[in-house]
Amino acid sequence: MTTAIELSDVEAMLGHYSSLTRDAMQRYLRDRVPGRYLYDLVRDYPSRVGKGIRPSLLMAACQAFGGSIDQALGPAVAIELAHNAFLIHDDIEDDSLQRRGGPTLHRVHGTPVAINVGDALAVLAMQPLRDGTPLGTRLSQRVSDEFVHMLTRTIEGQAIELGWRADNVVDLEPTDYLQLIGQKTCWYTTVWPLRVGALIGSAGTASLDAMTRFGFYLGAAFQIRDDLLNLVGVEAEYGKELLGDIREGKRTLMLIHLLGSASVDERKSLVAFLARAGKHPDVPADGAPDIDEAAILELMVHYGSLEFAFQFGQGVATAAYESFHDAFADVPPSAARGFIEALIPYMLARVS
Amino acid sequence: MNRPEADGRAGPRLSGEFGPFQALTALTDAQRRGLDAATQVVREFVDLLDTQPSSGPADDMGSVNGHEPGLTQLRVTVARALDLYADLVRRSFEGYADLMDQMLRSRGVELGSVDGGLLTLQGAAGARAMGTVWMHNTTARRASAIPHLTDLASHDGRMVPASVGRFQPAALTIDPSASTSATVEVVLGDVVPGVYRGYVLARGLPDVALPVRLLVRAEAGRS
Repeated sequence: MTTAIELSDVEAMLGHYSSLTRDAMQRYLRDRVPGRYLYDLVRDYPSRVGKGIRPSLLMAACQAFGGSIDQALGPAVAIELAHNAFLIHDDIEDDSLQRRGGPTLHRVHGTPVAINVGDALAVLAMQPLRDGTPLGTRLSQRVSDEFVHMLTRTIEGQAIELGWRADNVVDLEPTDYLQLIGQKTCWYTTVWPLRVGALIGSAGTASLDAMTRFGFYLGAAFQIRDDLLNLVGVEAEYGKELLGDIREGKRTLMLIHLLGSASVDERKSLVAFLARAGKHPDVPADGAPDIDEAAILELMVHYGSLEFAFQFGQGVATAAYESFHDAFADVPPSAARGFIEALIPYMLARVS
Repeated sequence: MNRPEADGRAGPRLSGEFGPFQALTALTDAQRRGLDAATQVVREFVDLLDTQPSSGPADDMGSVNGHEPGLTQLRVTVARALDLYADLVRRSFEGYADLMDQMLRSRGVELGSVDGGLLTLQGAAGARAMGTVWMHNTTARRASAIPHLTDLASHDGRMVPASVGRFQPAALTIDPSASTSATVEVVLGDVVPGVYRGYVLARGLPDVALPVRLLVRAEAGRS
């Protein structure tokens, strides 16, 4: 079954779910002291409007399985706060300049303050899960267990990526990339929201393995698109500086394809560039690289790496489509179910 | 995807029209690689999840969205009923505990608490205050201990005599490296409202010295 939902409908529903989450998050974060050195900054990233895919997916899955928004709101706030904590720390690790259309926190307030704000958000993310009232003791405990597991997997994935960059690992295959993003992105972006939404909505009876499969494919399609947008998106819509992934030496699908396609000399230049990119800014580099970000993008275009990633993403999205119909086989049609299904083409078409 | 402009950077544009997703029937090589690689990785992903220790995420509970649609509603209903029942028991217990607490208070007995190694007892003048004291035998021998209260003193020199404190049981036998508890009750009688401090000591256990703070409020109806 295909859905007749339009892109504007998907964005409207994302906006609706995001707005509910943002309001709850602001209520949760307001009136905390000290404001100047901590909570004013804690509220900064959450107040910048993002897509809200994680809480939206969680709430929609909960509704699709028969639950209510009220039941899903606490975990939705928790994942959004955790996401913002990750963003702050990611921005520091990558020394990124922009986030959601504004300067990154550490660029404005310095790294020590930004690390502390990220820590605060990570701790605050645990709190909404401790209120067992909407879900009951048993379900609350399961959601908390899922949360801890998800955080662990995400951090393990991030460690692998940082390790690859530090050790300048270049002999990678697309499956390595998928394993990486399965850990660092899919778990907290799609797998956990789907699992927990289904868990809550079905009072613990839904097949979570089916949610894991669908969540992985959907999250992988999301991340591949995100990596493409970093190279050829429109900066104002994308919200981050373009070509940042190349500058930081991130092992994207396009880079892995290029490393496998480039000539011997080009690959040598690439490896030298990546060695430099993987070093801490304070560590002196061995001479200037003979290639820059723009030249690497040109090579990617020349060797069809962008096209390869786009097509690869379409293959992943096909797997997502199949697994969606397995995971939601017995879930009756609803706006929430239609929204989740429409997220598959949305992941391939989004521009921000 | 479109071909790049001359500068490479500004030129390439992402394709991807939004519309109802059509699963691919004829795959390009890259699409096939994407599909196959993702399928392989997700299989490992789920297998790994199945081998997680019990502290990991909840086990898959089966087949609501799988193969037994006739049981779906029943399973959901039963699961929710059990959950609600567990909540009811928990709330009932908490309500019962609150009730007992109120009852003890209405009889002039207030329960103490231990915070950071300090036993706080509180009650109104003329009533009683109660708390629980833990004794730890850190020696390698069985010990017999008789707990008792020292005199309690206020900042301005007023005293509450040690004789107001009673322990239940009055004597304790504690195994090596073990702990046991006793209830201490303080009869406040005509004690003047204020804050008094002293210790719980134990004959037979020279290392036991638990600081005590006794808060005595004015009797109800008096200032």
